[in-house]
Amino acid sequence: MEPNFREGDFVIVWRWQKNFSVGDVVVARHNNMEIIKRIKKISAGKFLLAGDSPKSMTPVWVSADAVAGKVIFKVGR
Amino acid sequence: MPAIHKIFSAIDKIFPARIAHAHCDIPCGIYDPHSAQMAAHTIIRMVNLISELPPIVPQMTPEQRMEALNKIQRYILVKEQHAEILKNEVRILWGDYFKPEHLQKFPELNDLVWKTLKLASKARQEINLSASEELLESVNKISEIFWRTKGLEIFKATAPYPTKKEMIWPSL
Repeated sequence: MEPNFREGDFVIVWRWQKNFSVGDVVVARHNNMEIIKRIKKISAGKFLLAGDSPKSMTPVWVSADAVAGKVIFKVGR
Repeated sequence: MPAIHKIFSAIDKIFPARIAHAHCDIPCGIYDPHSAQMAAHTIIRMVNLISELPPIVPQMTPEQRMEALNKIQRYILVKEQHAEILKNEVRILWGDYFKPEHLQKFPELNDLVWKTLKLASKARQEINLSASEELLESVNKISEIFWRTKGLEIFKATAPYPTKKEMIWPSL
């Protein structure tokens, strides 16, 4: 998620977010861990998540219930 | 380091925050459907071996009965393990490798993956040769799509395994 988020940053996640938009940064469950990614596309109740860094992993589709919440505040190092 | 980060760090030491990873894995770019194909062949092989076992009958000695039970349990265990390997491999391809542009080019992919995972569960739950063979066919279709997304031609050949079923190979 560099350069916008770096290892060691703290984020506040709003877990009660109901509606998400393209461009939102979210925390989602994927492969048995929680990942922080940006929503690139929304389609049929699913979210395409990708990192900000060009070196980021392949974008992944996750279901709506896998999204734990929206990042609303960042405390950078 | 900003003061607010120091405050958050101090709080984190007392009440550790959950960690959100920026990577679900290393984006190494090394993917291959071969493991899923081998797992499908293994499942077929285990079903064949189970079917070839002599029936357990009352006339058996305790040693013969133990031997038969030992064999069938080993075959079932391997069938279980390889169904899980297959599902994991297919999930990795689906979740990490395939991209939206691949789905546009191969719109049948989502249904194919879904069907494959369901078939793998069926092959796991039952001693079912037709379901196991159908599972291999589905995995082969995924393999074909996988190699085509890489711009490679494929060829089909009979596997050099006792199953003697078809496999998909890339023309490198």
